[in-house]
Amino acid sequence: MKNPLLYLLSLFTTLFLYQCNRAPEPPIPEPEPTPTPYVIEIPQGFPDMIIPDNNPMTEEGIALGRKLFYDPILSADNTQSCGSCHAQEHGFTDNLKAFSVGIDGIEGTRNSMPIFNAGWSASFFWDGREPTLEAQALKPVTNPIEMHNTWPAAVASLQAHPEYPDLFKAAFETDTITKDLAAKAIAQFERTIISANSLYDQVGLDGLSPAAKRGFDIFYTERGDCFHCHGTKLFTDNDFHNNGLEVLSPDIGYGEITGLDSDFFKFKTPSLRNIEFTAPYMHDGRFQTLEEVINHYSEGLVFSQTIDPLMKNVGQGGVQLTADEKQDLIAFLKALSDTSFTNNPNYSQP
Amino acid sequence: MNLFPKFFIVSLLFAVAFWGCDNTPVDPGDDFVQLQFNISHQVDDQELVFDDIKYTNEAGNTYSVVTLKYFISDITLHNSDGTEYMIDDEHYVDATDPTTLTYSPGDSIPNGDYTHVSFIFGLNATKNVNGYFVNPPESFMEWPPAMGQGYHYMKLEGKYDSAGVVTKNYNTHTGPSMGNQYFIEMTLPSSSIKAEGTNLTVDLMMNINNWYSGPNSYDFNTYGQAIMGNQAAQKVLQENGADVFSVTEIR
Ligand code: HEC
Ligand code: HEC
Repeated sequence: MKNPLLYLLSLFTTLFLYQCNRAPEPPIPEPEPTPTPYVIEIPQGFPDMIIPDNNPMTEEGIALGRKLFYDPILSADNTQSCGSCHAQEHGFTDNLKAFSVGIDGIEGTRNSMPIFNAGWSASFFWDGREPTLEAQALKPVTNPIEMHNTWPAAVASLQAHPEYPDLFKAAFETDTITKDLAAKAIAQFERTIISANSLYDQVGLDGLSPAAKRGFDIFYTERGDCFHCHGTKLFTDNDFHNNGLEVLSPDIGYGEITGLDSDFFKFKTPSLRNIEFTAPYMHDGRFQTLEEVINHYSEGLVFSQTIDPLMKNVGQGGVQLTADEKQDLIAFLKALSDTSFTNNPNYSQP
Repeated sequence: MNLFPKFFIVSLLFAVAFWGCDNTPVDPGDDFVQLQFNISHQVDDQELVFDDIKYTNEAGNTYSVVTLKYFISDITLHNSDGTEYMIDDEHYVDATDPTTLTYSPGDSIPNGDYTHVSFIFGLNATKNVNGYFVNPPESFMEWPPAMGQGYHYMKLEGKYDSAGVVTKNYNTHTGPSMGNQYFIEMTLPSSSIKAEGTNLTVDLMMNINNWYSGPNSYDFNTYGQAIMGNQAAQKVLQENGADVFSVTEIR
């Protein structure tokens, strides 16, 4: 080398690369096909989604999860899938039944829950007993009054299936199917189920009908005071409250999980998005219509020790809305319906 | 041959090589002090216990505390030489969540004598706009757009016995009511700090009963619920709130 500058140049290049600790990787041999990372699109104004580090979303994982969600193969007698109790056209809740019925025809004790925007929740079921969608997805399969299967049996069916071994391999790069991988795939699919395109999202307050606008004012002021629990873009605080329902059963909800008297009769706040599609209402499906729900908040509150302090005017039964105000409030709630979500082809049975 | 261009290139390379990745943070050494705040809540001289109707305020309401959530912001140390150090933008407290009760502001302070600590209770008008907080739990402090937008300064909620007969709910919610600002600029009493190289812990205590007395007696029978749009109630709380915090120890 003639030019001393070249020496210097290489010296500095080395120094630079060394200092940054970013030396180029040696070339790797042609890789096995790896799952394609999926970047979830977060709607404007929504929080960051909770995605566990050990279950990154991939195209293949989501496709597998979607197939599993709709496949009765996970139930003991091949008759019931997750989709049987979580129907897309009803916001992924049950079809007008107060209590869901399992494969043995036995009724549960709680109303099925809607599944959308679940990627922003940190506790699942009406009592919040499961901390992740992954943990939640393991439960219905073995629940004796739901799919009443065992996981070893479900995994054996999947392993013996003509397609599933390849789909698991594509999603998780392994030949061995496990219940945890099945749950991970289902959770990935569930995180893609997003509803953020209601009329209210599209046109804002200014674009609503006069009745819905008046309903908005009731919702977002202390006249109705719904926003304190059903607020933000999610229309839920994902927290637990006693909203003053009359106690009709020994179901103590969140209190069962925490063991604290002060949590008795608290249940998870549902989102009010798509509420038009998710009847019946409340953890036990006691109300058939939105009118009944509004009557509850207006004059039907029942005092109990843990009733939420946000419940207004409990002595008189509630916020005392007039008949017109009730209709206005319902008009606003209906502006939260999102048919582009209930009809989204990406969420339907594959 | 002119050596200058080479010399120039060499120095350029040096610069690039050493400047290339700036991943060694400045070592604060002994000249900087990190503060930690330990926040506690009392009702007069009793430790706060949630969900128990056992406290009494000046107006004679017997009450419980179920929820206590609030913001402090623009946390600032005032040096005796007149310099101000804003050591954090804002901090959210949920009194039921211990992780929010020990709080280390983002920035440290240089050694020196500080006359006092100040902060804003709530959020100033510039910050208190929709969308400032995207993520929970802060985002759930939302103050409705129709009532002034932004976020609650505080949610203090519970139950009270009205004349010992019926149990009622109260909601002491403060915020930018109908766009009017009721945040409180607080100077902490007895908060002079001598920073000498060792990290310091400031024990900060909120006396909940001070919201309900001095200068104004606050009665839940008058201002129980639905005070978010009530300017008189917001004003009373702003005045009463000035002395809710005290510094019990700096160590
Ligand atoms: C027999 C009907 C039934 C079947 C089958 C069923 N579910 Fe459910 N699902 C329910 C009911 C009822 C609840 C509420 C139960 C509770 O709170 O204890 C629920 C709750 C949930 C929730 C909680 C939502 C939230 O916001 O907390 C998720 C998620 C869920 N189911 C997913 C699934 C998945 C995944 C499957 C299939 C592996 C499945 N479900 C199968 C009836 C069913
Ligand atoms: C203190 C918090 C809180 C407030 C305030 C509140 N809700 Fe609820 N809401 C809940 C909880 C918790 C549930 C579920 C209760 C259960 O099933 O036991 C619920 C359930 C509902 C449901 C049924 C949802 C479903 O999927 O079954 C509707 C509809 C509803 N609320 C509307 C409203 C309206 C309208 C207002 C204002 C008038 C309001 N809520 C005020 C906490 C609250």
